[in-house]
Amino acid sequence: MKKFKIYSFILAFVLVFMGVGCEDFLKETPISDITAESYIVNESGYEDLVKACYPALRDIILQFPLVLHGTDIFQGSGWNEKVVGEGPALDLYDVRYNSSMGDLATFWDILYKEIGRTNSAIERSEFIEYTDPAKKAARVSEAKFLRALSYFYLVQEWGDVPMPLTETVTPDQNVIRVPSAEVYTQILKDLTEAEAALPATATDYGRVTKGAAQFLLARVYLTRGWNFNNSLGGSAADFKSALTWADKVIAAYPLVPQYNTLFPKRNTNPLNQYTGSQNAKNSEVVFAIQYSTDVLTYGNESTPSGNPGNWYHSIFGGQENLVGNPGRTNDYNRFQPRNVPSPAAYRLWDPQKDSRYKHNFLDVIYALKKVTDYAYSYTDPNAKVSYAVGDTVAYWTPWNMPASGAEKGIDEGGTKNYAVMNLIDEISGVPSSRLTAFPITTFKFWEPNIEYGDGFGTFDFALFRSAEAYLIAAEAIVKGATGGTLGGAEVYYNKVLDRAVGVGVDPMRAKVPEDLTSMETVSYRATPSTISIDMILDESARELFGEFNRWFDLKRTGKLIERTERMNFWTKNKGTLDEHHLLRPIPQSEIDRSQPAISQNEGY
Amino acid sequence: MNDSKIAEKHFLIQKRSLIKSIFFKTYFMKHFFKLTLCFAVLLSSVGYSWAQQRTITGSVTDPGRVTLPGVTVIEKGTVNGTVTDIDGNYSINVSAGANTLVFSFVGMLNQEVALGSSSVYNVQLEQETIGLEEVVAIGYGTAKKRDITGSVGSVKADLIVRTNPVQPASALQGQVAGVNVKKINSRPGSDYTIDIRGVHSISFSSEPLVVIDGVMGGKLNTLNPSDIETMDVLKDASATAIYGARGANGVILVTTKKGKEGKTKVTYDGYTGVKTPQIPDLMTAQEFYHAYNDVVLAENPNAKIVWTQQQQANVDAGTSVNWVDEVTDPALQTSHVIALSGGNENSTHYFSTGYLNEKGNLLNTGYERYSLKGSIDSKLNKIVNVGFTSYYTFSVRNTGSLETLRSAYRARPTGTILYKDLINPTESNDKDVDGYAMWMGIKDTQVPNPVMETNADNYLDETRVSSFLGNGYVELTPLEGLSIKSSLSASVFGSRRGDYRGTNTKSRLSKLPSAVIQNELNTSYTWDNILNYKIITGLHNVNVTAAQSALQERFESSGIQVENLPYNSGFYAVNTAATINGVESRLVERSILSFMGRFNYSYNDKYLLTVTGRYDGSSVLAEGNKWAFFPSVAVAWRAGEEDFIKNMNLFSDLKVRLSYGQVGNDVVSPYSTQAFLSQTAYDFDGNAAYGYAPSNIGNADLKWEKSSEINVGLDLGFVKNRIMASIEYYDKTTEDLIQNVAIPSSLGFSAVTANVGKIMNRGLEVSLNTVNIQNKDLRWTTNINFSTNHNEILELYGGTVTRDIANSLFVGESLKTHYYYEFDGIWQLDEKEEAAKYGQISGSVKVVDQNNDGKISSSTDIDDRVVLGNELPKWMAGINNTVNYKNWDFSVFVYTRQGVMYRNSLLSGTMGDLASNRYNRLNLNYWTETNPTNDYYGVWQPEPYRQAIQYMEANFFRISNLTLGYSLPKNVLDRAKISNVRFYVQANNPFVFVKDRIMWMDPEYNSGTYQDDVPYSTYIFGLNLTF
Repeated sequence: MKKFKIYSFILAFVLVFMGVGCEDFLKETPISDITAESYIVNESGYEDLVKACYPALRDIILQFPLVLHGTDIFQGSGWNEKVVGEGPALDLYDVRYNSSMGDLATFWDILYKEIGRTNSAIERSEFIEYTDPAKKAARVSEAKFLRALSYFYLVQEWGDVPMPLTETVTPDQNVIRVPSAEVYTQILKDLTEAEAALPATATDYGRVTKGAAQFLLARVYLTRGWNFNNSLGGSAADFKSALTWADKVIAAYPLVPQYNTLFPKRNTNPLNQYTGSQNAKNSEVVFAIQYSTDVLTYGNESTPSGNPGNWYHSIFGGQENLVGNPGRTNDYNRFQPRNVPSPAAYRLWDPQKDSRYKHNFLDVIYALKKVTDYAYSYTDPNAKVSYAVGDTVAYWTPWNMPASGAEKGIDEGGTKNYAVMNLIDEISGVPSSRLTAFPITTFKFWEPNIEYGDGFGTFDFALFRSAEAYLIAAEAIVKGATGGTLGGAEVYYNKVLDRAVGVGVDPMRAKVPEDLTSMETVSYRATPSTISIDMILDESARELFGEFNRWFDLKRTGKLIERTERMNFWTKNKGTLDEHHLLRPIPQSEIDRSQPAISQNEGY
Repeated sequence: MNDSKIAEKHFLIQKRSLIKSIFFKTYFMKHFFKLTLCFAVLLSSVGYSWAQQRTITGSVTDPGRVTLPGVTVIEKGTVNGTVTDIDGNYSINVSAGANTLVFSFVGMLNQEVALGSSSVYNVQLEQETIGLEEVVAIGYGTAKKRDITGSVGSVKADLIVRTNPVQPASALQGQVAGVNVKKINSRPGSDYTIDIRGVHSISFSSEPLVVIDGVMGGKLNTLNPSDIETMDVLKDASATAIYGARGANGVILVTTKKGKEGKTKVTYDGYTGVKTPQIPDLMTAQEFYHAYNDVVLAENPNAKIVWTQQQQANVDAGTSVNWVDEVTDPALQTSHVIALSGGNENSTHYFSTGYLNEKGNLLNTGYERYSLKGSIDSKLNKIVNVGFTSYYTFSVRNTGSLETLRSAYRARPTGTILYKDLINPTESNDKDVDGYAMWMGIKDTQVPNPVMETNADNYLDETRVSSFLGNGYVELTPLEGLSIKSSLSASVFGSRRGDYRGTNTKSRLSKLPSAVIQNELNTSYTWDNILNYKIITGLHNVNVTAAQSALQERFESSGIQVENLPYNSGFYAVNTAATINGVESRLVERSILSFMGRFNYSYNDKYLLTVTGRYDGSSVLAEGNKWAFFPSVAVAWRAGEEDFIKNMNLFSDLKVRLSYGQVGNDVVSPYSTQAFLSQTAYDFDGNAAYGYAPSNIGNADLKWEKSSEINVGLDLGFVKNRIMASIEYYDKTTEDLIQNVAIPSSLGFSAVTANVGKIMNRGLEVSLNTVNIQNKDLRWTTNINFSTNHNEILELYGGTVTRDIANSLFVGESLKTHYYYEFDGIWQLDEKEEAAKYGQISGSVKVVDQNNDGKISSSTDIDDRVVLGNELPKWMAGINNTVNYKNWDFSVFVYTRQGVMYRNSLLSGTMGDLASNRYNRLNLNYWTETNPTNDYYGVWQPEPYRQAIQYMEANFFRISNLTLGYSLPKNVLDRAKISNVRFYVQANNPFVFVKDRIMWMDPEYNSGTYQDDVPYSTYIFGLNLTF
């Protein structure tokens, strides 16, 4: 009977199917993804976990708004006297400077993400066996260093902060802010342990070394020594520790002879551009964030597509729209004025004697293509100018040698057939013709031969270099530390200066940097009687211009309010900066997400 | 994965394929020849006539004794048939053994007449009482509408194609009470979102489950609307409980067309139309110049805004460029479908093929779809029925460059289109690209000429989708009333997206081309075994369904991104690229195993009971939480059948329904219960250093979202059911909501997936169908559906919290709530001092200081932000009027949605940002010292609260469709041997009424502006033909 054949077939079918078993059918077996429990179980898995603690560094240094803006030497946007609209919140410290500012949550989130990863690495190390115990100790120490670095940034920006020290496996919305002093204790504990176990030279260049831990110890002790608001648990002894650790760094990491060798090699004239290879490795670098030309590895996690690489070479502004510029090309690369020097900042250098001025600013722009009969005047359509390739189209005078009369450009009644711009003119914000552009391009980190784009720098970013250790030592001595290997504070200070201006040369800065009309000058070579915190801050402004530390230095030394109100264009004119701004507001998102809501810093 | 797991998996795969091969070999192979033969017979039977031995004649009338021309008369069980002539008379030759004639006519009940010895049979057809005898799909079976106990809404074929929708989802808009259908964007071939009875999930989609011919999880947009017979929407929990774990968002059952017994019928439906673009009202060159020159200079004479010589000349000459107009054009929309259906009592078939072409209004964008469907249902003998459906669609969608519209919105109207028209190209560093001026004489390197971007050789973003749905079943009916059906369905969905960007596009500019190619292959199979048993003994009517179902889905994807291609190879030679930016591939699998049963009982056709239960297991949930049981019960009383009601002579139908049920939602993505590692990239001295870091917090406690719903329904009929109304009230609570909870980021992660909340949806639905006029020449009908929904969060995070500001969730408020400062106009000149207290200036946005503390703050306890509104409609309505007069038909469809607030994307994007002079803007009524309006802030005064102005009501009222048709008279048709010819003209979305038109592109959805096309109206001319 055919009918029964079919029935038995169906019955068989059902039975076979049921035989597979419900639980097997519903079992989840991910193939594309891997879990920590199955992967971080041996040396190679653990190596990968530690490697994952490094990429966040690239995101951390992208948080420049909270480190450079609103300080004496950098602002979030350009400046001119007759401005329409308003300046950036971070410079004006106005009603918009509140817990909802996007920059706050971004920095906060990245630091805690990094802390989460380092916590995993530190906690899971217990269950991992290495064939070489020293190697394992080094790896755990790398994680401890990176955790300490993250907490150090957090505690400086926000004061009392949550301090998880173990991997989060279950969500808990009850967040507790730990007193700053305890955070410093933990940072020093991690760093001290790391310093002891780290090798002087890492197995891979770019990993954390003993020197990096020593450098950070110097900076942490220095900061705690100032004991912000008496809340850090610091004491005078901390300055002594800072000096001791700084001396170790200075001994192990000699300065390179030339300032400009610390940065990418390039020519200021794109028509004659340097095309050779670049090398970021040198004796002065203590710890550098790594970049390479490999597109698969040079990404930033917080901006996974579109903005990889080292941004620093392209975020200090420039002149995209000058006549004779072919537009967006790799000649002058991207012109992103995200960090604009304050007008007073230029006046801290001796433009003639200090080699760092020449390295930092691009004062001449050349025509890269032929321009014929360009009507440059707003008023006279017959006023025209032509350029051949290679002709100068714009020139910015040094602050101490403003041009006038015949030395000015044709657009201002002079004889030069290009725009000649004085610093004092720029402050007006009013271009005098279609030839004019403000302000001068900051060129310190610029890297040639990088395809035009949104970043893409491949040169390593030196987070710690020994020049700063000299300044740390000088500051510690000014604050009372004794026994410096090299001598007094002025000795440390002048070591850094000597490289920039030559041994014994006396460079002159504007005596009153904030008064753009004043041509009065003063020497910035130190003597035992003149060395001061302000002098050291001026020198770190020159030496570490645009590097990742300005706000921290100003806050630590109690100089943020005074110097910023004096020199930052926006703060000076309209700002409402006061004491409460020395701690950033806790990000609103963190307050909103915590249950019960964690407390906000005072004044917000 | 360890070896034993691999082996286990391999074994499973083998076992599955073994099962399949047994199934196909032992059954289909055996019957393959039989099926083929049926098919051949069917085809050859077209036009074939049986031996003629006897002639029957007569006339056919309606209940008013008006003669009916065009009534189909068929000898039952054969393909032999005829139609009545102009006077309602027919004459048919039948075989000697013929014993029944079937009469059918639109709007009338089919009538069977037993043949005796007479040769004349005059027939009076009964009016079809609307709806009640209609058969609707209810999941694993069908039921007559009169026997339904739950809440089910249906849309039939004629309504589905009425407005010639490109996607089937849009046919549901305004047709079924409680169903909210929303556009995603205006690009050709775009999808829609659907939610039924509100939104039930916080973090996941509230999209209903779509079941296509019994296959769960289908995609509506892979279907050609004209292949759909019905879409039945299961709304309440008692109706959806049969889909248990996946029923919480409602279920849309799609039944595609099948062959019908009778003479082979060939239909052609085609139309051609034009989509006319609607361009936003942007500033002209002169307005733009005025806004950023005159106004600013008036306030600050020292401010100089730099205009190029070119722009100045254009402004002075009075010329202006509307860039959106330059990149858009009226576009073609056309569709052609040919279908063939027919069959005899042993076998029916349906074949169709369709072609659709919808161009976008943006130049060089469009959507084309080809569809092919075939199905055969065959009765092999008294016991065995088999059937097979295969449905294939293929589409190509070309969306063009994202930058085209963005650049067109941004580009200043003071620009110049063509290179040759530039006075001095060097001042803007301009470049000649195919005759266009790359920088338009403007000298802003963020915005290249948008027209250049529309060239498909420069930029191509193309998606090709190939989708197959196949189903085969065998059904046994060994006993009277018993059916056992086993059905195996497969779905294969493959898509390839390619993105090529040439040198002359904004994203590349002077760089060599880039390309992205992404492939997706989604497959699933469903195996259902359904047993159904019906018994009728006396007044008792019992219907039992038991079913078992297994579903496995597999999503595979891979992709590569490259740049610096040496030549224009589209995305077809990524191997030649100098740089590879990214490569990835991924596999996700999920499965569901289910057992369910339904028991229907009715007594005396008056008292109805339905009990349903489903036991579901899902792979995506944590061990121990995988299985759950979803029960429901419903009762109904057909009071209209009671004598005391009948005696009232008021109701022609009266039915009261009550139901309660529980359903689930397993929307959580696969593997959410586990904590994974994600790869990180770094280098040490140039050597790659890939790492692995924990990427999320796993949640081993994840369980089903569960909804419980009470539904009360009342069905009413008056005046012989010429007026029919249905009123429903529902109250639904969803708990254990699965949510990506934002957690303090100091934990190292910012979210975790958890079961945390409870929401309520409550509403009223009214459907009203009336036949206003019905006589020989004129028929006017009206369908109205109206629904309200109240959505409220009842509990968050297990009851510990009442406000979650970060996620904008508040107990007592609706989902998708907007929480911000309340807009309070613009600070005027005479309020200067008051404004200064808040650190603001005249012309800037004023917000309400809710606690009057002289400070606008978002800090806890002094938070001035409030709940402003939400994105869920408070009520919606659709009204359709159809008038048939002689051979003419006219219909108008009106649709409205009320109580929706969006943060207007037009205003939050660059087009509403008056603060910068870089990009063009909407032509807004902005504040100046001489125009002290409260409409919009001043050109330079946006901050800090400009966002407050962007929250706006998006209520609208729209004439969605106007159609006028004419059918050729029967006498004309008879001569041509054609049974129906209809011509029509149609306007879709010709008028929309919204409060502030300039602020909205299309109030139906919150357009993402540039990731979109412009809104449009469609004007169509169409033809329907039936042979």
